[in-house]
Amino acid sequence: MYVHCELATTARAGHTVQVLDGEHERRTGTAECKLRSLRTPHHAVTLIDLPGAAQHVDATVSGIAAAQAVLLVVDSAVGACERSLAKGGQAREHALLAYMLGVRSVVVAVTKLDAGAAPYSQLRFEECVAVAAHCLKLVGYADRTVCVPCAGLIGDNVRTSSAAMPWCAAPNKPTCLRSEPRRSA
Amino acid sequence: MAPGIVVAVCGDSRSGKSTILSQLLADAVLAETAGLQAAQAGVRSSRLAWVRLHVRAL
Repeated sequence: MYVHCELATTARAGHTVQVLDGEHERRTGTAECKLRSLRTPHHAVTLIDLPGAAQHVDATVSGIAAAQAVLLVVDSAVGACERSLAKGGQAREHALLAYMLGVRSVVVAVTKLDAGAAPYSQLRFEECVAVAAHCLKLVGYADRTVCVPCAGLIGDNVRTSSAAMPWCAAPNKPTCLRSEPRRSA
Repeated sequence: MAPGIVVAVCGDSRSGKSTILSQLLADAVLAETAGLQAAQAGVRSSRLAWVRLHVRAL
């Protein structure tokens, strides 16, 4: 997640469309796939922002089908992580879709670690990692799960590494972006 | 020329996908959307001012 990115000009392409659709999206959340691009020293990365709601699963399938890797974002709040990765949870469904569609590179971003009763809690992160690892194993991902702690609002461990999480043993360079992602035939 | 990768960002609704992407891309429109979603959900609304400031600065 720690990406020294050179912001590509294409990252801002499509702003006009975004502004036109903004009011609806504010009410309903992301409803369709959105493409964003950035460049790292190693790769040109196209990110597909997928809707999370169950009623937009068709758009989610389309987006995952086009991807070589998946970044599974999980809320670290107590209960939210467990709910989303439990049977019937959207994150678990997305992981299952990714596996079925042949995506073999998955990174879990455990986010909102700055919130809650114990901000930046290593214990809470490890609980989320255990839940995510169990879920992904059930789905079919046999490899060790790569989980990255982060706080999206502040940007900790997103664009820069975080001094608030010195316990973070996750790779501070995006191994998912440095190595070639795998996709089954 | 750097090889290209397509990464799908998925997860639960309100999990913070758009927030992470907004940080990653410094995308003003996405950041505003994410902040407003957080406010609507009644979650961490105190952060909204920070997000608005951030958006204005971009």
